[in-house]
Amino acid sequence: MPQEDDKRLLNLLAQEKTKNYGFELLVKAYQERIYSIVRRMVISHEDTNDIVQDIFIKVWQNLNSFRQESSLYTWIYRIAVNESLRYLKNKKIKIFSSEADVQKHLEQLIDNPLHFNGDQLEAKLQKAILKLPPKQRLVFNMKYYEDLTYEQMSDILGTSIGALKASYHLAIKKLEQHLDIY
Amino acid sequence: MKDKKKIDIEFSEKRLESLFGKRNSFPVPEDYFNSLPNVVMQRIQAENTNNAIQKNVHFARKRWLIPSISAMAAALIGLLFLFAPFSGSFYGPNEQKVANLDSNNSLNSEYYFSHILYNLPYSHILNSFNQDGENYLDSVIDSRGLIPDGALKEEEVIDYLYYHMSVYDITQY
Repeated sequence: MPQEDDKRLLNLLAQEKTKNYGFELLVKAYQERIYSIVRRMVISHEDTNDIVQDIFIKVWQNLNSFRQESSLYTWIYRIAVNESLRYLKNKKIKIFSSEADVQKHLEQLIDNPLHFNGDQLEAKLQKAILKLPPKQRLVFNMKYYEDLTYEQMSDILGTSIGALKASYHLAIKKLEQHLDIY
Repeated sequence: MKDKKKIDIEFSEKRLESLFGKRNSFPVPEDYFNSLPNVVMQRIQAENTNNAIQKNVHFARKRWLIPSISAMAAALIGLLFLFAPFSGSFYGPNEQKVANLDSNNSLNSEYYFSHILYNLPYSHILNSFNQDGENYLDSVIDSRGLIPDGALKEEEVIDYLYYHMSVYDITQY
């Protein structure tokens, strides 16, 4: 989203009488990107819907503490990333005993056309991506599917560009291995 | 060396893309993105209302402490006058116990009530109100529609005390 649009949104959000309108515009502007990053992490639409709503509620609740040190986009994306990882962690603790169980559950969702309607090859790639540790999966999705730059990812995740490059590189190599495409 | 690594990754990325594509194959219900902003705004409004309710309930419960103590004292006075003519002594065993705290051992009812008002911990009073009491409080607050002065009226506290607490409950502290 161009910075001028973010500025306009922030102006609307700063005034009590335009705050609601401004927030509705913010949701409209960011919903698809936020949905996409969460959906790739948790696979099911229902879970994604819950998380996305929670993300926007958190954004609303913390608008006053947003100090504009980072861009609005970076800030919202950071909340989305944290919420997705928190959800997976909670799922591991509450429902499944290990990360492998969560991964198995998510792989089963890929086989369900309600949750995923790609072809066999796409399903194979998604299952391989699910084998990556959650943070590495996030890095891969952000770069490969969302086309974020390493600089943007660094702002969002608070990780150095070098570490992100290494993580992405490792993710690609693991995927090649899982997919047997040497 | 650095470039070689970069080229290597770019090559791998392109290979992945050519083999598997980048298509978004996660189905989203029709009209989902048209309705989501409204859903979020409704949730925000509901949460704002809930917060206001919680603030009011909290305020109402705190305000309830003052009339409840006064009401307990008033109820005790009433009960003392009601039962005094039928008892051998004007003061029952609990009152006697409190009265004994007086260094002069004088049977002073004023002392007794000031003891309740100033020495009885609030937590004891609150703990004495069981779940029924909480429900009663909630129903009264609900029936008032949580207007700003949603605290219980003194007579409602007295009613509660009469129906839910025995003299023993009140005097056992």
